[in-house]
Amino acid sequence: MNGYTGKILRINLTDKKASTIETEKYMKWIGGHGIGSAIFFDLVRDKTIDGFNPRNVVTIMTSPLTGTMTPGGASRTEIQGIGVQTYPLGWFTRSNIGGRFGPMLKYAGWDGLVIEGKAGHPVWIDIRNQNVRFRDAEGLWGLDTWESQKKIWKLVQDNPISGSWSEIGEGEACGRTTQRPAVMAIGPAGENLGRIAAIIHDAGNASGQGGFGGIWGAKNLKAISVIGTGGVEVNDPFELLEARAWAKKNYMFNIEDPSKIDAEHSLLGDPTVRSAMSMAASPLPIVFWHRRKESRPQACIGCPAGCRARNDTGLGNESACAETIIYAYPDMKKQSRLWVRIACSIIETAFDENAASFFALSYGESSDIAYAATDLCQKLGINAYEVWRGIPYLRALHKKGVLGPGRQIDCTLPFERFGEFAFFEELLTQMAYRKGIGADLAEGLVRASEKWGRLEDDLTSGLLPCPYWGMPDHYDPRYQVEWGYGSILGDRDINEHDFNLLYWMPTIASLKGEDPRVSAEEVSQIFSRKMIPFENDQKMLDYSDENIYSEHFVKLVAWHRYYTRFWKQSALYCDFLFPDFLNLQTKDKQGMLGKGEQRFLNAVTGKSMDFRDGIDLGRKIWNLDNAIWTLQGRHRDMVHFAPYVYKRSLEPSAYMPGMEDGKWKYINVEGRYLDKKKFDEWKTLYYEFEGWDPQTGWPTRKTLEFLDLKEVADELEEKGRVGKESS
Amino acid sequence: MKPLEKPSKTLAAKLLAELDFDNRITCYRLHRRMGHEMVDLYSFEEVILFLFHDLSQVKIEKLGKWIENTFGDTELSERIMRLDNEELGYREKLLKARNLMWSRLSQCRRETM
Repeated sequence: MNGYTGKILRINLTDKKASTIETEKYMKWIGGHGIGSAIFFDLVRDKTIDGFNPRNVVTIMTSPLTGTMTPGGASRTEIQGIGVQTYPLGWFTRSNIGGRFGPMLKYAGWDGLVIEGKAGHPVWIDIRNQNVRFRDAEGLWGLDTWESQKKIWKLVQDNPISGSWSEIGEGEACGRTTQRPAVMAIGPAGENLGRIAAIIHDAGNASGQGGFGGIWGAKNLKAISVIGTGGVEVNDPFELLEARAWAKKNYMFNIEDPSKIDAEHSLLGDPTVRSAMSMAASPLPIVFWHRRKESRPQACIGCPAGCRARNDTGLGNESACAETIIYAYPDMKKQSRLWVRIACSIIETAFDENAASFFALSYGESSDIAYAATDLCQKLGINAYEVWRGIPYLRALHKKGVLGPGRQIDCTLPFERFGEFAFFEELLTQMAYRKGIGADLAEGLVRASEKWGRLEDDLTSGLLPCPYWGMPDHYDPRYQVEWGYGSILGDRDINEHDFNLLYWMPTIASLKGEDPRVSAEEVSQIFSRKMIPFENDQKMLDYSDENIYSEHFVKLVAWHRYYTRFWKQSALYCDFLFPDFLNLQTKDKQGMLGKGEQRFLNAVTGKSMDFRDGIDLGRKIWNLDNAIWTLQGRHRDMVHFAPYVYKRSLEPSAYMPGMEDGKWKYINVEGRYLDKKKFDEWKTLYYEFEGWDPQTGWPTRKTLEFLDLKEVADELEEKGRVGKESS
Repeated sequence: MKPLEKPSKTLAAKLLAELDFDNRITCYRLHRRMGHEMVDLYSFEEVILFLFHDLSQVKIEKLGKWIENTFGDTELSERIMRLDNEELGYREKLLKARNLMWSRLSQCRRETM
């Protein structure tokens, strides 16, 4: 079974029983999200249950590519179930995690895990190849995620010396390995049923969104450890390596002179401001503290992106992106004040630009505090995004005079020590253990604000920037419109950066006073031509005020949903490298999108999928998900952004491609807000396009049967929630 | 460039003080893979530090008006707002504004020593 092991491990925590689901039963969904949604649909009869309910099923799925040498496709794992983070309802949702866990699961002989029930007391699951044990977590419960993992490594491996051989029992390679177990664990935040609790793997891989850490806590599941000594069967290993070499030669950075290539091929025109969004970029850790000189990129298995770092201090290892910014600014501010004071005492003249510049070199040094803060967040197992967005919100409320000791929102946080580790430690400890104000914040920012009686006001003013389903803002829906639409039509902040280049390239260029590397017309042509089956509609990429409510934009959003649901969340290509729309490494600037995805998948599986097949399957998966949300209680009237998105103008400049007076250009959408009525009308267009009932947003029987989802239509009808067909 | 006039002790004290919520200034910072971050800044000094970030954003006019309305520093406000008329890129204008503010901050510290 090329790419597959043939077995999914089903773990019943209530009965402490392990059984097997034959992967073949779900293989038509290929892997990852598709299989997860299908299994969830089959096993959870009552989809209205709360995420903390023991009957909630959590799936952890790999894809056939996991554990192979597919670049940017070998290490992601998809986690799904009814979440507890989103507001007002915990939607059936997804999270995705990198690192070693997925590959190791495959090497142990499992395509995925299905977790159901609730253990009578805290347990951890010990998987060693085909041997599965439920182990008492008494000695682990209460430990942070790092302590838990280290302890489990020692419990599983007879030889604690890193890199030495250890015997793990029966299995391939005589059950011997030099690797250490891949462990996913929850920390105190999850144990205390935090809605914003994360699952952490190794130092910095996190399943952050959805609150799955709290869901595991509710199940009394502390950790899952897996170690395997097998491999992944690949249909055509030679073709897989050929494909990798082809991708590297034609689309990726040239290692002979990476700095030169970055300068030439950086789509942002500035090698110091690379986004690592391009296949052509050389490894660049995406970290927001000022990188230490003694650090190096770290990557998941087989990936050239190297989006994380390892640092000489051992602090901040493997964390990336939003995880690294949570306390970077307050720390920098506090540290740099010292430099400013020194500078001011030395500058003798009233205005000395050179002196100011000299001291600018000293600005922005991140102390160890920024790194330690990130590590604390990982150890306690808290969603870094909520912390990052929460800190300025709390500070604003403190400055307003409503939050603090003895105030309307009483709390003991030491704001006089803001920027110091003490403040951060106190805040996160309270969140993890539900102490003081942490008891409110463990419910998520939106629920905390609601409890404080501030939600409506703060979502209207934008003081609480949570535009969709109570989740913190990521890319503002007022400029990155397809991001907002996709999020509100779905279940969460989509976190899919596929179209961000359209914003980054012209916006950075405008800040620098330069022309974007590629014109609006050309970029819209390149993008639209790849968006099969809608490739003839260039206006999909028109972000002008008129067009964002049009049928053209419906196609953009639909394509985005289909592509990500299959190619990124089911086949499990990583968001950092896929899709490769625009690539300056190539003569025609066309990236690998539409050529690479299926090439690697077919090399591994032996199938003959083409790119369109994946888009069609993505559409099917998206419809299945919408059916689940419908069964959970969704109605189109709920599908709206927070009020500030409709009432407040976007303040900073943001450039997007669009048409003005019949010509393509990059339009500054500063000042924009979404029109609620027009968005509502656009939803009608969208639902009709999908073949859903425009009155409710529910899928129709006709659409579901067309997609070979008759049993889904049957359940919707049984529950009285099938969409009406248009007459 | 002509140096700023020496500030009065009163002005210096105002410029060095922490601000309350209503007098804050909201600026923006771009992050790779995360878009705009809205950042509330609660002191003159904090704004200077913020502007060292190479992807920080605030309108020159907004910055100038904030300085005038919050601190009453008309001279600095006018010098900053005049930058908008210069034939410079946005980032260059912002750097000049920052350096003017930095210079003023130095004066304030000396004045209050």
